[in-house]
Amino acid sequence: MYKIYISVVLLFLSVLLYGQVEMGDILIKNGNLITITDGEKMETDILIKDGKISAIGKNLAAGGAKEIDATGMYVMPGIIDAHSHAGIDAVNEGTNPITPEVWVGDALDPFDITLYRALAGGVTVSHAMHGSANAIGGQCETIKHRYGVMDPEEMRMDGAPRTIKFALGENPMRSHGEGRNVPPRSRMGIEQEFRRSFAAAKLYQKEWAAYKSGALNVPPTYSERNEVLADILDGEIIIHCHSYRADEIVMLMNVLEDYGVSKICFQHVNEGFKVAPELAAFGAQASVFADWWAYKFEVYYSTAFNAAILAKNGVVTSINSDSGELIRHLYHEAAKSQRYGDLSDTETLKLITLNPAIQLGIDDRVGSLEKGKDGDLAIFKNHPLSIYTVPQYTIVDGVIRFDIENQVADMRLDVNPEETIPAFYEQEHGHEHDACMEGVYEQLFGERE
Amino acid sequence: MKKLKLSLIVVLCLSLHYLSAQVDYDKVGEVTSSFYLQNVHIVQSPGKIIEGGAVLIKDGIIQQVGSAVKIPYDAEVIKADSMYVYAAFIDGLSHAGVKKEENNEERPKVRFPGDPPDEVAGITPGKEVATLYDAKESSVSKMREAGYGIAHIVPRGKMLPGYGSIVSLSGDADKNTLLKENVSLFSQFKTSRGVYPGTIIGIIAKYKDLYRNATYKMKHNKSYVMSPQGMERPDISDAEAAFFPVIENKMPVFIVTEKHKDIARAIQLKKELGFDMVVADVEQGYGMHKKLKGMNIPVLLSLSLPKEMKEDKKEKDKKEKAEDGKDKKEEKKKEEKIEKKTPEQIALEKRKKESYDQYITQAAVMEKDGIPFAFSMINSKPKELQATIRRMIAAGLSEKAALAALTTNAAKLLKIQNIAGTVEQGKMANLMVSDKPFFEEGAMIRYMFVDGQKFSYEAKKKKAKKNSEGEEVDIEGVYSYEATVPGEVQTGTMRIEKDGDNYKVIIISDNDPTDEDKGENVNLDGNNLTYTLDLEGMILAFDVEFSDDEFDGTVSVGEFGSFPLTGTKKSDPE
Repeated sequence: MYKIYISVVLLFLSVLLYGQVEMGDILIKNGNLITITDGEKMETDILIKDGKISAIGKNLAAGGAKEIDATGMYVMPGIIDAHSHAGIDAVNEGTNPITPEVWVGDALDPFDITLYRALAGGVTVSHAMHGSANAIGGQCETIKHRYGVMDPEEMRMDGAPRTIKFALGENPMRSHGEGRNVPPRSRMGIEQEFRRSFAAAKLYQKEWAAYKSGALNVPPTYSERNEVLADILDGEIIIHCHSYRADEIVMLMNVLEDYGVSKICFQHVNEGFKVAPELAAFGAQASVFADWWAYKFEVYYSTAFNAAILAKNGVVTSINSDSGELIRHLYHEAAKSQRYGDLSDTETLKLITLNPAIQLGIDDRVGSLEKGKDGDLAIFKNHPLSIYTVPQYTIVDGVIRFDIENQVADMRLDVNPEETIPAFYEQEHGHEHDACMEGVYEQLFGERE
Repeated sequence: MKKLKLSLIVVLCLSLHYLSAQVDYDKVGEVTSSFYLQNVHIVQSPGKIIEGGAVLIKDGIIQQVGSAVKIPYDAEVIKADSMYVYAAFIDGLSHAGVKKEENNEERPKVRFPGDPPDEVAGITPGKEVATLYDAKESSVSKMREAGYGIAHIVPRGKMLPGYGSIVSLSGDADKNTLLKENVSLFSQFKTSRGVYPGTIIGIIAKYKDLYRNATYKMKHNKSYVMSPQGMERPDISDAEAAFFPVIENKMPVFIVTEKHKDIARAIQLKKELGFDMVVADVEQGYGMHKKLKGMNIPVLLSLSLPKEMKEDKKEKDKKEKAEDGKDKKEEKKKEEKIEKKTPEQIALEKRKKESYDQYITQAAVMEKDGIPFAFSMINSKPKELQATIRRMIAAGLSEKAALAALTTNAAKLLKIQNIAGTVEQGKMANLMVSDKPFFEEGAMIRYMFVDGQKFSYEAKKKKAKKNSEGEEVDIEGVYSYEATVPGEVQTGTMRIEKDGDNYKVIIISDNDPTDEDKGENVNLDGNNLTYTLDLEGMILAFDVEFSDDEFDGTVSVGEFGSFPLTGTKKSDPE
């Protein structure tokens, strides 16, 4: 007879209280706190109560909270990745170049193992984005890495502002113009796609205002697409725009100025260093790679000093991963801007904490160690900007979601009951060494243990 | 005289007309529509049994049920002594009787794939399944053989295939088999290739757009109907019009949600738009079932369970072989051949087993948590029903709950509980008669009564596993196969031809259509075919089981392990 009760394997799989997100109480003792906004506080305690930072000081009382001894360790705010595709089941609705009505938040995947790997790299919040196949892509979702929850609704960062993905350059041109003979086919075409969409949204707003005021007796055609575009015009959605070349960056700023939109954060923006003053004057922000370029023609003219130059020109800059691999060591990516640009420790760590929080509109909740902010922390052995650093704990809302000493080899939440268990590693997992030696050991040394 | 002749002619004409309207020489009618089931055990409803009673049905209705039922003069007495009578099963959602369309896998040619016509995008919510139902389709008789008398059927398609209806599975193309028409709106998270919407996020956005548009159009339409002067005439598409009864909460939406995430997404959609919803074909519902109960969303569980894990199967085979008295030495040899497992493999298999347990105990968990459910046959095979239910019962589901799911709960969900679901006077004469209690091993359905029509089935002999005296399945033919090896899916063609007493197996891979590989050591045991293939020194061992026009099994590649292999018959041998 099979057991009716399902046994929980993982140590910190919380009991499902549907509708309620788990909040925890933790006292982190004697750590070296990197607050970001108030300097470094050596050998200081930080107390999280009910998921929020309630006190920072020396010799704090635990009051029943779980305790972690962080002596000799560095405690910083949880890292925020402003460009990620982890935790969602669909990235690109690439059949139409204008799709603001779709929303990746409709397809969250709490079982994505990339989320756990991100936690192992100290990342507590990420911006799950739509892809760059469309000129106007879908709405994105800011998620908290509450790995272990089963209900996708519990991944959301409630209250985080709405964001949307725009894309410039080769990706939309190739997906639609080259691929299907549908505009846009050139950078000029992309500009007109924006203008056309915004103009249609403006007309839509006028029609509905007339209907609501009684001037029109029949409702105009409803359109999810135009509803979202209208919300962008009303300043309710932050645009995050995939871009590389300086000319297209300036083009978009001009278009936005024509339509009265000001909330924009450029993504990748490899040639941002060329137009840093213009970006700062507009109030546009930038989320960049540390040193990833030349993989396409439009990404040719780049520099590792990009982040530093933008920061020094007054542009709110962050460093992102756009990758399930880079997200595991964003602290090292940020550190590169010390080598290339001489940014200070605080300025460097701001690139992966407070600045991405500002870009996502959540800087009142996360991004620094301040009383009242969310209990999202990452604890490191050795300074996070040191090459010898190793993340030890990652805490989200006061709940330990990653503990390097207490984890099992198989952290999957959802296992396929019909999966085949291979007797050797597949190529894509990269363990080619083992695959090559398969069987040889047995022949030379007899039976394996 | 003239008057007489005229009147005779008139009478003749009239009577001829009368005759031609009455006699249909192709159809042979039943002798009687009255049947008496004698000395049977009647399972009136889950938990309510009448031992040693009788059932009388006439004109498609159950006339009497009990221990003292007189046999009327015109009733056919059914030799069902000591058999078990149940209410025929009711299916919550399937495509029974709806023909499969030809495979058009190529992308539909559309000028602007971002804005396709509704039909191309799979958006035909108003298509009525009643117009597509073919009572003579083989799926109808397959459902009947499995014990079903009534089914809720829906059209095939992608995102919004159409309206569903409840039909009686009597297989009579002339009779009116439609019990209730247009009772549901059927929906799936399935996309049409290459056109908008092309992803799950596209589907959900399109759904919201369509629904909200329909809501406004409905409002507009109402205003227009009341006073059209000076008002622009509403332009309502077929798809929008189909949503009107749903928006008014007069028609529920049945959504196929197999996995946990699908259910979560359907729940969010319902929350946002406010329609009545039933989730169907639920395979992985154990994480969401409490939420579903809290929101009063009825549940149709899937009748597909994950394949039995190898250990369970090995245990079963061992038991059966021991019973047959197979040679013990051969058993030992086989066991030694099994590769030794690494600790990692053991850990992975343990996790797989835990997941497998969660899937098969799903129904039992729902029962324990007091959540009523029924079943949907939509993506499952009717002939596997009995075996699947028995696996669920072995995993903890009670027989009472299993029967309720197949009868009374389904009737309630489909709102036909007043005419079906139990063996009670006044209800439709839908009965299933099995020679042993239905959930017992080896029980076989001997009679089905659907809408008062009798169907009888002969007792099937158990297939002998051993020698040539046992029934051998006819496996000759040309098959297309699909092998899932790491990193890719290998496809090709397999020809099986009879070669004297044995079989010849020829394999042609799609990678190299010119090269034909011949199988060696071919052996057919019942429906289990084994053979080997020598590819440049590497021996591949094939082990497949045939059923209907398909085969299913594994291909072992020495130390690399074994991989799944499936195939479908394309044509008979040339």
